[in-house]
Amino acid sequence: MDVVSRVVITVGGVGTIAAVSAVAVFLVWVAAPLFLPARSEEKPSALLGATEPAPSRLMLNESRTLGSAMLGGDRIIVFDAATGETIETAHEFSRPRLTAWSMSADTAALGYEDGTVRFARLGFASNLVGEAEVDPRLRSLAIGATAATEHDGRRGVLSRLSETEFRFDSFELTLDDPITVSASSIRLIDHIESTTGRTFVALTAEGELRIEQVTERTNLLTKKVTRTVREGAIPFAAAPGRGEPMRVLLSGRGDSVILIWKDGRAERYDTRNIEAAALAEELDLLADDDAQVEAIEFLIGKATMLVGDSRGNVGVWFRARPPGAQTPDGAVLVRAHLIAGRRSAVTALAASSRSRTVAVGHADGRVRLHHVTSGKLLADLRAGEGAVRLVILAPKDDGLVALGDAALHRWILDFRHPEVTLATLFAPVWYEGYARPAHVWQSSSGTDDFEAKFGLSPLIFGTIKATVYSLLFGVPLALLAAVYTSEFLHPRAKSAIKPAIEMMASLPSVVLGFFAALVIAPFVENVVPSVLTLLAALPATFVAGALAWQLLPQAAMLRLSRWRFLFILMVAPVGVVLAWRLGPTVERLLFAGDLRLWLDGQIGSGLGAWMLLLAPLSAILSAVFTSRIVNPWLRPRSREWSRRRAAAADVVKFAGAAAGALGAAWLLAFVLTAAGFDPRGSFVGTYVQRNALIVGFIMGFAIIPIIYTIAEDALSTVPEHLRAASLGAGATRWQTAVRIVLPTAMSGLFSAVMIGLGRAVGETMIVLMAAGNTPVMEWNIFNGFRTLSANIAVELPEAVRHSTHYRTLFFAALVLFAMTFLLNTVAEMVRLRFRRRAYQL
Amino acid sequence: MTHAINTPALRSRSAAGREPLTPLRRSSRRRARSSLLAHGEPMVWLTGGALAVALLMILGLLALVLVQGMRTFRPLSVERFVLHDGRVMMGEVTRAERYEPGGDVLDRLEGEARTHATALLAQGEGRSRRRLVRIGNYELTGEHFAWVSDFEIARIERPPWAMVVERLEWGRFYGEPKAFLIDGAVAADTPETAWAAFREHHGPARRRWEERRRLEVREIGRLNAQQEAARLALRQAEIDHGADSPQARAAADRFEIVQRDVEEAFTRLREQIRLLNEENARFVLVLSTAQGQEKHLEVAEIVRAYPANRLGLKARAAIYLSRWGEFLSANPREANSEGGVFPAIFGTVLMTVIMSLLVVPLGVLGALYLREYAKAGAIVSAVRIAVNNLAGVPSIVFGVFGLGFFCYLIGGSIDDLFFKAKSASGPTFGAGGLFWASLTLALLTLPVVIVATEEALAAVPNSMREGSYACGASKWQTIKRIVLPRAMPGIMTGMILAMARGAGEVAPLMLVGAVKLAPELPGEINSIAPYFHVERSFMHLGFHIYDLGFQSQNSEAAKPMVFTTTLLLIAIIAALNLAAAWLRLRLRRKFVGGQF
Repeated sequence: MDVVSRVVITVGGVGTIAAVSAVAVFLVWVAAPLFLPARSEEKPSALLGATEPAPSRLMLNESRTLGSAMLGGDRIIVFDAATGETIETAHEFSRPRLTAWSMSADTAALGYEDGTVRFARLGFASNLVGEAEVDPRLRSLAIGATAATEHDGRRGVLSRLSETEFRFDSFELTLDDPITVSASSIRLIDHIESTTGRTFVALTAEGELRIEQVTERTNLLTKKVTRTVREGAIPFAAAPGRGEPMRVLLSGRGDSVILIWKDGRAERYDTRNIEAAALAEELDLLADDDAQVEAIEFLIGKATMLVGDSRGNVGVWFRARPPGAQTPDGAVLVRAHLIAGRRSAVTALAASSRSRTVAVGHADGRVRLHHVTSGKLLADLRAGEGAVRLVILAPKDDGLVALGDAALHRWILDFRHPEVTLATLFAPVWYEGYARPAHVWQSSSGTDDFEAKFGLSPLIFGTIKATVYSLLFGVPLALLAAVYTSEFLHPRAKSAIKPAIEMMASLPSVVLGFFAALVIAPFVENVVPSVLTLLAALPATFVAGALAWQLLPQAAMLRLSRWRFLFILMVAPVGVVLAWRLGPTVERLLFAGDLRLWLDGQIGSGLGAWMLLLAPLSAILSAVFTSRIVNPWLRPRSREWSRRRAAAADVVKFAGAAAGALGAAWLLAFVLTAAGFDPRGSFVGTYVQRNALIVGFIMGFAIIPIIYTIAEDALSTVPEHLRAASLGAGATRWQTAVRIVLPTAMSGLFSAVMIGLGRAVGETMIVLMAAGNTPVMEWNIFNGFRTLSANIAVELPEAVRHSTHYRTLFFAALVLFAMTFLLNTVAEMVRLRFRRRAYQL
Repeated sequence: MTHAINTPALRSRSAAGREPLTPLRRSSRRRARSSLLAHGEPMVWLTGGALAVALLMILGLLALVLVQGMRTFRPLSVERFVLHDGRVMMGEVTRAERYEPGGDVLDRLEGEARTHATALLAQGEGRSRRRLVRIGNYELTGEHFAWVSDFEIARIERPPWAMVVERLEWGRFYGEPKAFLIDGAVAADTPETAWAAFREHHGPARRRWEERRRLEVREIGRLNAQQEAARLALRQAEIDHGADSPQARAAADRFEIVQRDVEEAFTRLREQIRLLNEENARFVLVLSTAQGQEKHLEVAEIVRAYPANRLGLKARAAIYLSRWGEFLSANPREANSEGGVFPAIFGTVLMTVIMSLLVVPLGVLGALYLREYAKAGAIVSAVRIAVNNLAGVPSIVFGVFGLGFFCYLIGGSIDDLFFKAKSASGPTFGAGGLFWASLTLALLTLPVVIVATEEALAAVPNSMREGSYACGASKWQTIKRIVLPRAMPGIMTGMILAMARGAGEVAPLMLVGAVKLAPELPGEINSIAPYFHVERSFMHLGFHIYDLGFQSQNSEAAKPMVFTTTLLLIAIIAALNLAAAWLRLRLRRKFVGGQF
C-alpha cells in the first residue's frame, strides 16, 4: 500500500507539474513551424516531348498531373507532367501568325500579325470518374498513379484517388472573336481581367501604343451580350536609338501602363482615364549600367513588378505614394526590396498565384524560391547543369516545375509559412503600396490578393502602453495605501480594510471591463477637464487637509488622532467636488474652452499640453526642493516656534511650493510654446472615447489589490524590534516609516510592483472592452490601442487551424507568456532574497 | 560605533549605494525633536489619501453595481407625454440627463411652444433636461426607446389604466386595455373587466404554452435524439464495415424501424401541440396605444402584464420578485436582453464543478509530492518557483493552450477515433466545449490549489507526523489518517479560491467554448454518444456580461440586465470567497488547538 501510494503520488505529482510546464512546450511546438524553411521533395525528371520551337511559357494544373506549354508563338501543346510526353496539340496559330501574347490566371490575350487581338479562355478541367466509366485497361492503376489516356473524346491524364474514385484532367481552350486594333501587327500586349470586363494594352509595329477596355454585359432576359469598347491612345513616342521596348505591362487595376526596355529604362503612363493617358514618370530599373533586364513578372494582384537582371538580382517594384511625389497621379515606382542573387543571371521568373512567393531560375541551373515581402529564401533547388529556361509554380503552391534544356525538373513543395520571419514579426516591413517600411498588424481583409500583415510591434506597443498608464495610476496608490495600512492605520481598522481590498483581487475583470467601457468611458468623455484637474486636486486636497489638521490645538489633535483615517476619508469627496467645480475654469484657461477641439489641434496653443505634461514634473521637483533645501533651512529656525506658528509656517511653505511648481511649469510651458514646440499629437492628441486614460484608470484599479497585498505583507514582515528601536531613539512614526521600514522592505515592494506589472501585461477583458482595439502606435493617452492579449481573444476563434495567422497568434501568446514569466521570475527571486534577509533580522 | 552602523536600515542604505553613511548620522544628531516637520503629516495624509481613494473606488463600484443591479426589475410607472408638435409617447422613463440641444431644434417649433422652449432653455443656460422613455411597441414604432426633451413637452399624464406588457417577442408593449376577446367575441369591453378577464385566463394560457414548449423541446428533442442515434449507428456501421456489409444492412433496417416509430410519435405530438395552440388562440387581449392604434395580443404570448399606475406596494413587490424569479430560472429571450440567465448560471456552475473535480485531486497530488515525498533540493525549489510563477501567467495564454491542445489536438483525435459518423456534420469534441473549458480552467487554477494545499500541509505540525510514525504507522497511513484530515480545511480553502477564480475568468472561455446562446443545455444525459454531453458549448455569466454589453443590438435595454448579471456574478464570487475566509478562520482555530 505504501509503495503504491508513493508511486501514485510521485507519478501524479510529477505529472501535474509536468502538465503545467507543458503549456510553454506546446506553445513553442505550435509556433515553431513559422520559422522552418520550406519542404521540398524532388520527383524524377522527364524529357519534354516537343521542344521545337523553344517553349516560351508553361502552365500546370491544380493536381500537377497535366501541363501545357506555348511553343514559341507557334502552338500550344499539352503534356503529361510525369512523363513529359505530349498528349495533344491544343491549338496551332498558323494563320494569321501570332506575334504577341500575354497570360493571366485563366485568360490569354493573343495579338496577331494582322493587327487583331483575341481573348482566349484557357485552363484545366478536372472531373471525377467512377470505376465503371474507366477504360478497362486502366482499372488496375495503383492509388496515386497516373496515366495519359482518352476519356469522353478528350485527351488527358487519369489518376486514381482511391479504391473507387478516379479523376480525369484535361486542357480546355476557347477563343473569343477578334477585335481589330490596328492595321499593323501587334508587337507587345498585356491585359487584365476584372469583374466588369477586360482591359488590354497593345504596342503595334508602327509604334502605336493603344489601350482598350472591353465591357461585356449579358441581358438577363434575352441572354444577349452587348459589348462596349472604350479605347485610348497612349502618347508614346519611340525615342530614336532606344530600340523597341521588351515588355509592356498593365497594372492590376488598369490605372498604369509600364514600358520596359532591355537596358532597364522604364516609362510609366497614368491611365486612370484611358481616354487621356499621360506620361507619369521615367526611371531606370537597374542600378547597374552594364546589367540587362532578363525577366519580368507581376506578383499576384499585378501591383508588384519583379525585374530580374543579368547580374542575378531581382528588383521588387511597386507604386507608393510618398508625400510630395511629383507625378500626376501622386504615385512613384519604388524598389522596395532587392532579392540578391548569386551573380548568375536570372533566366526565368514565376510568381505564385496565391501568395507573394516567386521562383527565380538562374543561368547556372539553380531555382531559388523567395518570399518577396519577408525576403525569406524558402528553397534553393538544382535543375540540371544548364540555364533554367522556364519555371512554373503549381496553382496551389505545392509544386514546382523547371525546364532546363529539354528536361522537366519537378518538385513537390510545402512552403509552410513563407511570409513570417523574426524580422517581419518585430521589425518594420515594406508592404505593397506603402511609402516606407512600417509596423503593421492587419490580419484579414475582404479581398483575395490582400497581403496579411503580421507585425507584432503595434500589439507589443499596445501592451506596454496599457501597462505603463495603468502602473502610473495603480502603483503609487497601492504602495502609498500599503504604507498607510502597515504603519499608521489602527490595527482594528486594518483587520477590516485589508481583507476587503484583498477580496477585490478576485473581482472578475470582465466586470471591470464592462464598467470601464459602458460606465466610465461615456461619463469621462464629457468631463475630461474635471478628471484631469482631479489628478492634481485630490493630492492637493489631502495635503491641505493635513495642514488644517496641524492647525488644530494639540490636545484636540491627540484626542482625534484615532479617527484620523475617517477625516482623510471625508476629505476625499471635497477634492472631487473641487475638481468638478474647477474643471470648466481649467478648460477655459488651458484648453481654449473646448478640450475636444483643442486636442484635435484646431484651436488654442500647445501651452495647455505642456502644462499637462510639466505640472507633475515640476510638482515633484518642487517637493524635492522643499524637502532638501527648505526643510533643513527651516528646521533649526522653527525649533523655538510655537506649534501653531510652525503649522502656519507649514501652510505658507506649502502654498509657496505649490505656487512655485505651477509657476515653473507655466514658465517652461510658455517658453516651449513660444519656441514653437507643440506636444499635441504625441502624448496628448485627438480624443477617442475608449482610450488609454480609461484603461489606465480601470486596469490600475484592477492591479491595486495584488500590489497592495504583497507590499503590505512585505512592510508588515519588517521586524517589530526595528520599529521599536527607531521610535525609542526619538524618531517620529513618519521618520521610522521612511528611513527604517521602507528601505528594509524595498525588495518586497519591488517584487509587488513586478507582479502587478505581470498582471497588467496579461490582462485581457479590460483592454478588450475599453481600449478600442485599433492597432496604432501612438503614446497619446486619449487614444486607444490593441494589446497582445486582446488581439488573441478577438482573432484566435476565427483563425484557421495551422494557418500562418493561427501560428502567429500562438507566437503572440508565447511572447506574452515569456514576458510575464520573466517578470514573475524576477519578482519571485527578489522576494525570496528579501525573505531570506528578513529572517536574518 | 561599528555596531551601531550595522543596523539593517543603514546596511540597506549602504547596500543600495545611494549615499555614504555619515550624513545620515549627522542629520539625525541635528534633528529638531519638537519640529512639526518631523511628523511629515502632509505625507502621512497623502498615504492615507491613497488608501481612502482605493477604498472609495471599491465601495463606489460595489455600490453602483448593487444599486443598478437591484433597480433593474423595479416596476416603473407609465407616463404619457403629449408634445407640442402633437406627437404622443407613452412608456417608462428609464433615465434623464442634461444636454445642449443643437441649433435647429428651436426652429422646428412654432408659436407659443417656441416661446416656452426658448424661455426654458434660457433658464437652463442653453441646456435642457431630456428623458429616455422606453416606448416599446417595436412593431408599430420601429424603436424601443425615445428621447423627450423638457421644452418639447406640452403636458405629462399618468393614464390610470396604462399597462406594461412583457411579451415573448418584439419587446415590451405599452397600452390601455380595451377589450378581452374569447373566440373572437367580446367578453369584456372596459379596462376593469378586460384586466379581470386577462388575470383569469392568463395563468391557464401560460401553463398550456409551457406544456407546448415542453412537448416541442423535450419530447421532440427526445425523438430526434432517437432518430439521430439510429442514423449515427448506421453511418458508423457503413464506415466500419462498408456500405454493403450485413452489419450495415442490419443497421439500415433498425434505422427504418426507428424512423417509422418516430414518425408516428411526431404525428401524435404535432396533434397535441396543435390542440394546445388552438386553445390558446381563443384568448386575446385588445390594447390601444397612446396613438390610438388597436393591437390584439394573444394572451399566451404575454409573459407578464400589469397596470403600472394602479399598483400598490405589495403588487409592486410581487412584480419585482417575480422578475427576479424569471431572471434566475428562465431562458433568455429577445437576444438575451430579456428573460433569464438560467443557462448561463447552469453553465457557470457546471463548469466550475467539473473544474474543481479535476483540479483538486491533481493539485493535492502535486502538493503532497512537493511537500511530503520530493527530496528538498534545487529541483524542488525550481518547481516551486515555476508553480508560483504560473499563477501569474495570463489567463488568455491558458485559453490559447486549451484551444490548441485540448480542443484541436486531443478533441480532434477523439473525433477521428470515436465520432467519425457524427463529426461529419461538425466536430463533437474537436471544438470548444464545456469539458475543455473545465480542463483549461483546471490548469489555470492548479497553482492556486497547489499553493493552498502546500500551506495547509506545512501547517500540520511535524510532531503529529512523528507521533504517528512512532506508533508504527507507515508514511501513507500517516498522510491518510493524520496529515490529510488536518489539512482538509486548507485544501477546501484552496478549492473554493480556485472556484472563485475560475467562475470569474472569461478570457480563456472565449476561446474554448463559451457562446452567446447555447442551443442545447450542456451536461444533458441522453442516448447519443458521448451520452453525458459535456462536449457542448455553453453559456457563462462572465461571457454573458461581455456579450450583452458589447454585442447587443438593443443596448439600452440590455444595459440594466448587464448590471443585474454583474451583481449575480459578484454575489456568487463573493459568497465563494467568504466561504474560503470562513474556512481559513476555522482551520486556524483548529490548528491552534491541535498541537500535541
